Amino acid sequence: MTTLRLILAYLRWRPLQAALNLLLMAVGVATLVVVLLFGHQIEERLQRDARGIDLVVGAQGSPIQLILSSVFHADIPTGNIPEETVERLREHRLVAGVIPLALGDSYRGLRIVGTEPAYIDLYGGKPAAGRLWERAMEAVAGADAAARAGLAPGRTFSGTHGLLADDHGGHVHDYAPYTVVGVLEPTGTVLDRLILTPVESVWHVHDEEAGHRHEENHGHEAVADDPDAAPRELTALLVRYRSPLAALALPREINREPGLMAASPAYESARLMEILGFGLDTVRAFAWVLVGAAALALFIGLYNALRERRHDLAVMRTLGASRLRVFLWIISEGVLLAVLGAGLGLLLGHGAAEVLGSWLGAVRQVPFTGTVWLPGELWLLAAAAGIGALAALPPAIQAYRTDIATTLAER
Amino acid sequence: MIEMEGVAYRYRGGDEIAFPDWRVETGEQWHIRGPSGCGKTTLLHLIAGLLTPQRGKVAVLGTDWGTLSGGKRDRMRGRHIGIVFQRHHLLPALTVKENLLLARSLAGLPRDSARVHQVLERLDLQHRAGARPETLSGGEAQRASLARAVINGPQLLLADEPTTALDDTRCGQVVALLRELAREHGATLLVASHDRRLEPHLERALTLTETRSEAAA
Repeated sequence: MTTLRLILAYLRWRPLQAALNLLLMAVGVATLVVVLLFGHQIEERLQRDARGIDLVVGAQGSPIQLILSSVFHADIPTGNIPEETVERLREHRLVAGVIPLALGDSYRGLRIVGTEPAYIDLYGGKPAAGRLWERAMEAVAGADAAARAGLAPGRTFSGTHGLLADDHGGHVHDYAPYTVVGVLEPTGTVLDRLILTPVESVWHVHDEEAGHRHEENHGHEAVADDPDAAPRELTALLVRYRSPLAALALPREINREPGLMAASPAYESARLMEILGFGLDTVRAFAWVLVGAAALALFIGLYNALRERRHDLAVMRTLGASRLRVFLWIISEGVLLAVLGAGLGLLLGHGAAEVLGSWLGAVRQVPFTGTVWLPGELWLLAAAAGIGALAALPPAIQAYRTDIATTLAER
Repeated sequence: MIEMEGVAYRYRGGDEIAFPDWRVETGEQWHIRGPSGCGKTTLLHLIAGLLTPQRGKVAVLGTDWGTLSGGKRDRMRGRHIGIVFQRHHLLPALTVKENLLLARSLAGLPRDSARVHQVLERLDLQHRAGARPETLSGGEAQRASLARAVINGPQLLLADEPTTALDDTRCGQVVALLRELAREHGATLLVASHDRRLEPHLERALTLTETRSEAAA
């Protein structure tokens, strides 16, 4: 009979105690797994979405808000900037490329982004169906956006004023419908959950809206007013440097201009992770407390089991078991319980992450999944094994020192 | 088979127990008798290598226990000595069959299901092979304990008060079984008991008293 069979037999003999130990360890490890997956996926996502963008230029306000709204499309923009900023920056000697973004409307909670084809190229987007736009009011849907809103080439839709998912009740621009001309392949980036259109579309919709309001206020003769008279505006510009030296001069130069602000995605992402990291660290600390409680329960369980099994150990010694063998038996039991608990915790953690991911995806459009496995999780298993061995050490030492003759004489 | 010379043992805080010089030949069957507290169980534990005397020498199967390291003692005990306790001391988490297999495993012997079945059949326990100790009757538990003691084919069979709680009929049956099993395995049998009912069954006796000990044939 192997040590493993012996351990399993004793676990089956006291199933409730074993189940409690497993569960405690599993809950602690599952929480750690969720934190690990969340931190990893958020960081990876931030890096992927910000790749190829050295600087974001937008209206003055919070730099984090500018990055969140223009790079990750997760917040409202800081405001608008004049259209001519694009040309000025494109002509700047330190700038290699500029991609304009015009935001303001959404469709079923999905952002409509007025931009240029270079934005799609930035994330390696390619049409899976249809084509890219050729004129204003044509739109291309990202893979997730198309699936969520049922968009396909040939379909038309009208944007709603506002960017947030809960802006469903906003004003619908039904006088200026978009026509879907293409759907993009999945890229695993922010592009997947956007609806893209030329910048001119966004201007057109809002020009129409201005005309519409004018018409409502002053009667039909007012339509004759030229909507082009309104100044053209953009929400943000995604800038690529010509050389790393630009990082020193360009942001300072832009920040000196009235109404403009430059923010570095790399710097702001790091700041964001720092802020987010504090929350994650708190949850992680709580998870380690749970693991600590599991280790304590394991220790108490094994200690009580040892008291219950003193005679069994003594009998095993009379049958030829060495001191080392009974010592290893107890240690192995602690390690096995902890590793089984941690294994269960990994499964639980991934299951919970997947459920959480479905909810976040549906409610907050935050992509998060439990199907990703990280090498760091092996360390969790190793740590659990170490904790199990440590919890089993005092009872194992006591088992090692058991005096057979005295123990047998106790009954 | 067994040689004892000048052996004395003292428990912590207790008086020293001195044992007579004693020699047991292979295949002999002995009754170690005497009143409670005279050292019968201690003598069995010394012979089994579970205790180390403060003075004197205990040699079993030609090997002085004092010359063996802890691990070698354990291996020798598991391989060559079978012990029957007053209570069955079967491991409660294991079935009868698993208790026997564990005894083989701890002695470093290969798993031998045929041997296990043979021993269980010999003791009329084959139908209880998968039963846990708590479900066995008193007689079944005692036979299972005997089965475990002989599963490795021991050369020395030690029994500590195996009949104390039994009625006359069961007492006779147990001693007869012990003797038969020892004979079948060619093992030397030592039964430590204050139970006078054993006297007619075992031809040799070692009587321990608190003041002196004597061997009688």
